[in-house]
Amino acid sequence: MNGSPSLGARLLRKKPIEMLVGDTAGEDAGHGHLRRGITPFQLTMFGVGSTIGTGIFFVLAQTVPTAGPAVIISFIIAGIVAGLTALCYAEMASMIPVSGSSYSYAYATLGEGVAYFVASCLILEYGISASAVAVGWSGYLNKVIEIVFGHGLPAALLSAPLVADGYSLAFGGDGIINLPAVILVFMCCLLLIRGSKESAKANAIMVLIKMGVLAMFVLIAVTGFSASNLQPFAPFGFTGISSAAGTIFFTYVGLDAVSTAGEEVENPKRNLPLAIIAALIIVTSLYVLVAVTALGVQPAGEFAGQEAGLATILQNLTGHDWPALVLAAGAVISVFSVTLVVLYGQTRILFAMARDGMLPELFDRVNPRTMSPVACTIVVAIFVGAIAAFVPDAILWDLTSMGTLVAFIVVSTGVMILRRTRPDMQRGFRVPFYPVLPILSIVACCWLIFNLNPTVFKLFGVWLVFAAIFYFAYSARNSRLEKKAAAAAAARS
Amino acid sequence: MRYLVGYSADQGGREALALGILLARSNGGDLVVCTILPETWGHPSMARVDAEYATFLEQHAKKALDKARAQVGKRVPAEFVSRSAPSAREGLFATAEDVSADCIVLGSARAARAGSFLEGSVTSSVLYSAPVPVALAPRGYAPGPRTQLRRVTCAFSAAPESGATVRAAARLCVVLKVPLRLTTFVVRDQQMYPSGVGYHAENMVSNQWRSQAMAAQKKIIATLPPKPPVTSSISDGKTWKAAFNSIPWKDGEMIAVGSSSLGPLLRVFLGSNAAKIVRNAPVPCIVLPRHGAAEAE
Repeated sequence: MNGSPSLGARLLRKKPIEMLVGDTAGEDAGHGHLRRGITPFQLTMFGVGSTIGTGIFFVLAQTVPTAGPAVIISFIIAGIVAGLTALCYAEMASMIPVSGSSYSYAYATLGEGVAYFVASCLILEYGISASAVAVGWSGYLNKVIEIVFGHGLPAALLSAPLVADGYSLAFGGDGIINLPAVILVFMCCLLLIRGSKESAKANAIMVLIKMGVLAMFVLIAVTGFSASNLQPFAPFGFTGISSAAGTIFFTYVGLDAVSTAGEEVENPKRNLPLAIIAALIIVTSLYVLVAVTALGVQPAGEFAGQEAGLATILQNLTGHDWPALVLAAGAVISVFSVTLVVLYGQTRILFAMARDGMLPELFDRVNPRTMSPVACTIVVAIFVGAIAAFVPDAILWDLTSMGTLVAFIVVSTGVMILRRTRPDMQRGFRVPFYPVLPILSIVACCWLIFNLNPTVFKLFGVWLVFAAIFYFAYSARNSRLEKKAAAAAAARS
Repeated sequence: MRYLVGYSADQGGREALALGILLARSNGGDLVVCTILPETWGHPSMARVDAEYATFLEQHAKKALDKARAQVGKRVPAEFVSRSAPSAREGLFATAEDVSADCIVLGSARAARAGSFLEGSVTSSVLYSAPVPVALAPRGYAPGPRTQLRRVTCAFSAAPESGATVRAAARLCVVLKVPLRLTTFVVRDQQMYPSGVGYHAENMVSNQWRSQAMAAQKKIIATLPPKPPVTSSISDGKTWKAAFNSIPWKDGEMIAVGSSSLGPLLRVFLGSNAAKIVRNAPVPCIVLPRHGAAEAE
């Protein structure tokens, strides 16, 4: 094509910030936008609400075999890294107050190529984590059914036909489909299509349920605490600890809910880091308490492959069903809301991409009846549902961590680049201890990534190749900026 | 055009009649004002209880229609009838067929907020099966004595079946000799809390819907005949009420909405969005029967 921009120009072109802001302006843009005014307390609850539930209910079964009781340290490490990245994220969000998560920030500052790359990572962070959470949910649902009706669902309907044998995928096992996970994804899909959204109030209720059941777990489990279970503390040494920390990182996904509120919260310079740190402290302490008490009750060797782990531990400890039932029911309710939040994020990121011409028009078509992006929601639900149905969760968790960590590295790098290239731009919030903090964040993320299982690198590589093929075959040509460039070229000649 | 006003001797009936008069006056149409009475048992009974009841009803109808007659005066040609029927809905439909009415005019339930419409038991049954367009007067509707119908705004949803509604509204405008305005409602959805993608994500969806609707309006306007003159608009707001307030409404304006594609062909059937429009509109509404997709082509 004549006059079309070169590959380099395409990869580096940036979306003007005015264009980004225009995309998300409200109906009364001209008449002074009414601020919502999220309070710091609400913001903290958003962070806690969207973070707890993504993993603490299931992740112990996965990580205790890798790290032993030292998994407690892994939780703290992952928490610190999540905090560092969340602060960088907050600076970026306060500088470019638009929706669409790190994809939009990258598009405005680092160019289309990086933005597209970040978006492919975000699909792992949101889409794959939705699948992983749905798989975990099905374990707890089955626990509830088991306690109430005396026997659970048939195993063939509870687990994926693929099994992870040391992280390489193979057919086998007795599973056919993970049916509850599919049902969960489609229930959330229906809600999103109808346009009903979780509100700040609903979130507050969910936070109470989650913290309540976890507190209950800690209080009951502490009665059976035996320090001998914590010996040997770190059977696999530091390698085990850091490898588990990489997986655990995914349980902190959702902290971005705080970071993206830069425009909405009053006095972001003070309240944003306050809320991030408060949420982080609450979440990390709960995680550590749960991990410590769980390990104090049950020998480390028994965690592997335990579905609905926390509920089972309570059942074994007390000899009664009801504590396990309460916990499992709490998990079923709250994980539902987390899945809804994550799926919502995924649909809106794809929507933003389609608006920029990076994805086919189908993804940003709004249904006239519900005034919501129905087609996009259905496509997301089908993919997330299919993955939840057929792929085991062990791989999903690590893939999610991978995508999230990579996206966070880009954001942290972006903060540093922008401090150099756009020092004049107004920032609602600035990262403290610059440049130490962003560098530390990048280093920590890289370190966690290199501790992930090698198979995940392969899968991640395959995924990126797919994404790149799609980019060059479709997105680069159909980008909204491409049309603008063509129009400009036509005007010049 | 012949308008059938479902009249009752209360405020709702007066408002319906006021709307009927305005419509008939605007395009030289005529009115049939009809009161529906419960059926009585036609056979002789002990102590003539039923006959007494029948006499009472007759007198009631006469009084009601006298009131209506006084309200209409000599402004428009009008006919006054009463009819006994098992239900108000059946009575209205039968009368509409007898007098070959082109439109049924009804009033609002008293529970509505002033200036808005709320369907009562009769209107709601009519709104789910009427064979002709149904015009609805909001609560407290009182047009000035010289008010004329000046414009019809058609609610356009940009869905495929909505094209037929626009064409039907355009034909109506030709008969009524008024211009047509299209409007699409952009009701900004609630934002999800918490959200990892920012707290303005729903505006992104709404803005896309807005541009999608504008494109669809442009497309449909290009296919319409030159008469009536058509303008386009977008009603944008956080709620339906706010969306209505975002565009100007003339004195003597009406909003036309189509029937849901779930309903039977050639019948009125209020869909969920149409119901919201009807309840929030600051002007009288006219609900058009559903026209098939074939007609849309």
